[in-house]
Amino acid sequence: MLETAAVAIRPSVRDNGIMAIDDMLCMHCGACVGTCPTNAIFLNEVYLTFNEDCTTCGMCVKVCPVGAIDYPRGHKLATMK
Amino acid sequence: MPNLRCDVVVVGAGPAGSMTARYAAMNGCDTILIEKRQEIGSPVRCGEGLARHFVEDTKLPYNRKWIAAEVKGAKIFSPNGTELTIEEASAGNEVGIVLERDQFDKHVAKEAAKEGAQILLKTTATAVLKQDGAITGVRVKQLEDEFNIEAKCVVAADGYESQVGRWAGFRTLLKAGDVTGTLQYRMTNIGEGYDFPNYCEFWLGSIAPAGYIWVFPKDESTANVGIGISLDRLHKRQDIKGFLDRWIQTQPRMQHAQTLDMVTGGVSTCAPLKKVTGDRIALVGDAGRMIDPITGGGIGNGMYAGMLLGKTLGECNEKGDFSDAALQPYEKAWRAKMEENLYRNWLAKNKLVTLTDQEFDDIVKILAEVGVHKLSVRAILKVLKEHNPQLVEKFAEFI
Repeated sequence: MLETAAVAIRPSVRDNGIMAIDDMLCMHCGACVGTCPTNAIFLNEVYLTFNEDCTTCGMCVKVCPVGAIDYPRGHKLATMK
Repeated sequence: MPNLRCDVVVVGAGPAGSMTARYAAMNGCDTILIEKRQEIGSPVRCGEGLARHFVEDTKLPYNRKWIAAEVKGAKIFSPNGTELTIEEASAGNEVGIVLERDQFDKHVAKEAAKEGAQILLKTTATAVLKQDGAITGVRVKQLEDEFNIEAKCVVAADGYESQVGRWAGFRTLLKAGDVTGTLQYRMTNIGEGYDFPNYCEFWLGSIAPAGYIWVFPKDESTANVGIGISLDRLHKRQDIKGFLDRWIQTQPRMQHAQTLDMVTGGVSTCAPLKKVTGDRIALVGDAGRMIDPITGGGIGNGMYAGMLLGKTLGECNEKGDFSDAALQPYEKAWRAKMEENLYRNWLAKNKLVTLTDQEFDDIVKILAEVGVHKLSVRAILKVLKEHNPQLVEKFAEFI
């Protein structure tokens, strides 16, 4: 049963290898966008994307009030499992 | 969609953007106001507290629709629960009205429309247009269309993200210590205590490291309960939510409270920018980092600056000159009004974040005993110095 629940939630995570965003958690507030020191995040109304300017500094991971952003899969600091 | 042409394009229909558009249109500019969301004012990303005088200063007609509650003043709580009450007459800047921001933003936009500004919804700016190095407008995306809005002046009122300013070359980047992440619940069924709902509450100390928890009443049992924490005190994912949830559990009056709404956002608590104008571009409101670094309040400052900018744009339009030099009246006027205060509060904030719970307790206790008649950093420090000079050693340079 637990296995099913996990699968049902996981597709909401988009991991483009740069950063991972959980679309079910994201509230599109833009806190990460204004915080990003390299301007690597773009928010098109309700769709958050990271580009290759990202340095994986993790400021967005910490500032996100709902924890919607995480390091990409395989990154040693990744916490979303 | 064909390209559009206008005198002034304002990016962002928050209070600052709409107020700029309103005054620009009023003063003869052909103005387009663009907003990326499908609805102006929603979703709300704000604690919704506003000082009354800003409404009068910007000549905004009062309307009951956007006033959720009017409070008598503010209460500040130290970590051990010591209470300091400040009545509105002395609190001055940050309390008075608790807004319905979704209604309020629409109301300001309506005023802009009334003056003739054109509003485009679901329209996201994706780039700043440049020709031979000079700004000539913005590239926008509207649903499936992409087109240019050519303008003599671009106004960046895109809030905390401040993207338009960055594309145009302004340094709106923030240090970790000058970023506050915020989370707020709109909670209902809040029980009695602390003279709720007559005061806006501010809870200080390690419950919200380098920030504070606020309780702003919306009606007799509903309030915005939110937290702001400085980014340099956050360590892992969802840290902010943990701090707020733990605090709510310690509040007996909130044991049966239910959440109606959740709001998140980022707040800048930095020193004022060196420059918010350039050739054919100006920043206003949060995008120009005009937020008070201590309270995190920015509605009033944004609207006031928007009014000043709109008037200046009108003058520029008459002369047909939107150069940096022509925009200086705006730069000078907003700085005269708020720069010193913002800078002093930023310095004070950098000291405040170093205080321990014990020091907060001592300070609030003295102030509660003596009484505060003017809520300004300098006035408070003077009182403290008279009663416990040791306590204010960290702040010596402010007195």
